[in-house]
Amino acid sequence: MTNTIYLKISKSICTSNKIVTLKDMATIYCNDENIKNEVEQLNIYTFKSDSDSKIIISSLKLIELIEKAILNSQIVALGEIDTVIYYKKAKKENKLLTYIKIVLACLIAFFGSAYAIMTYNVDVSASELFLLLNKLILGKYPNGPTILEFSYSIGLSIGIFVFFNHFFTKKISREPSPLEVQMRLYEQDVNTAEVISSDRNKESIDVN
Amino acid sequence: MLIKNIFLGFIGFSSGIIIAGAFIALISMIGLIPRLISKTKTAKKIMLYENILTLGATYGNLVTIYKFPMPLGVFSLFLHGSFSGIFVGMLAGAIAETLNVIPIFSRRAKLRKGLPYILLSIGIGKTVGSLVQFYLLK
Repeated sequence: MTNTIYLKISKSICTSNKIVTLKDMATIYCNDENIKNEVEQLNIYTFKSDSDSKIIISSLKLIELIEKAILNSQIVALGEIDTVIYYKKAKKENKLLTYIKIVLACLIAFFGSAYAIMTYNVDVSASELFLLLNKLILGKYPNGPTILEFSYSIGLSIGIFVFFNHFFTKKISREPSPLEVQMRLYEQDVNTAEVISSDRNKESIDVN
Repeated sequence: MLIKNIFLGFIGFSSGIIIAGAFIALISMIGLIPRLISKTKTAKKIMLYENILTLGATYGNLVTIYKFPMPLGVFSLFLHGSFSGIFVGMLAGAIAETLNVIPIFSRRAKLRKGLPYILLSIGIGKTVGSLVQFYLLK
């Protein structure tokens, strides 16, 4: 009797273990528990060097390995066609360095976004426009900033909070914020680029 | 008069919200901040970055609207200059990347190698151009 083995293969994984087993890179389902366990423990790839590196493994290679290990099996591969495996040596995080990086990134984000809104306000002559609006509605030019400037400033902050979906640490709704979405998209793009370039350079592990 | 003031306030408030949407959409969609986060490997702090962006925009807006004097003198100038310089440099790179400027150029020019040098030249060119503009073209 043949057993059907179902695989759901991940797009990318990050491991600190040099030996990559099938369990690391895919979820496996099989009627027969023994076969499932055996397949899960299959050794897919072993990183040779100690430094951080990556390898791309094709799903065909996985099928080949499983067929060799378990005769008379039927394999259904779901999920990704290629998997990017990143090997990162397990090392203690340098807390101080991380904090320095965060502070620097925060400074860039803070002054950068301040600069961006300043150039925007100056570029579109926001102040002049506010004067005109004041004249239009109140009938005379104001001496200084009025309620218009004040409410614009408030609106600006509230708009950003709404857009980012949280007031400081309190989330407004449970959706991911645009930045989180962008982060994931970027990660996906990087993985896709890795797969394509390793395919071109014939560096990926595939059958034959 | 009160009605007019309320109306004015309403206009200000709504334009603020719309501008904030456009502003943040540009900054986050252009991929600059996500890149910064992934390079520093601090994705856990994403909420902090979002707060900082909000604070930065609020601060920048208040400065342009109310023109209040800033403390710290020259040091404050240095902070603004250097960090907004880094930001604009990254922004220029991110925009060039989003618009696929470099891949298209290198395809057209049939360039397969030397990309790092091209990037280096772009970077140096920006610094030189900026210096020329600020110090020579007075």
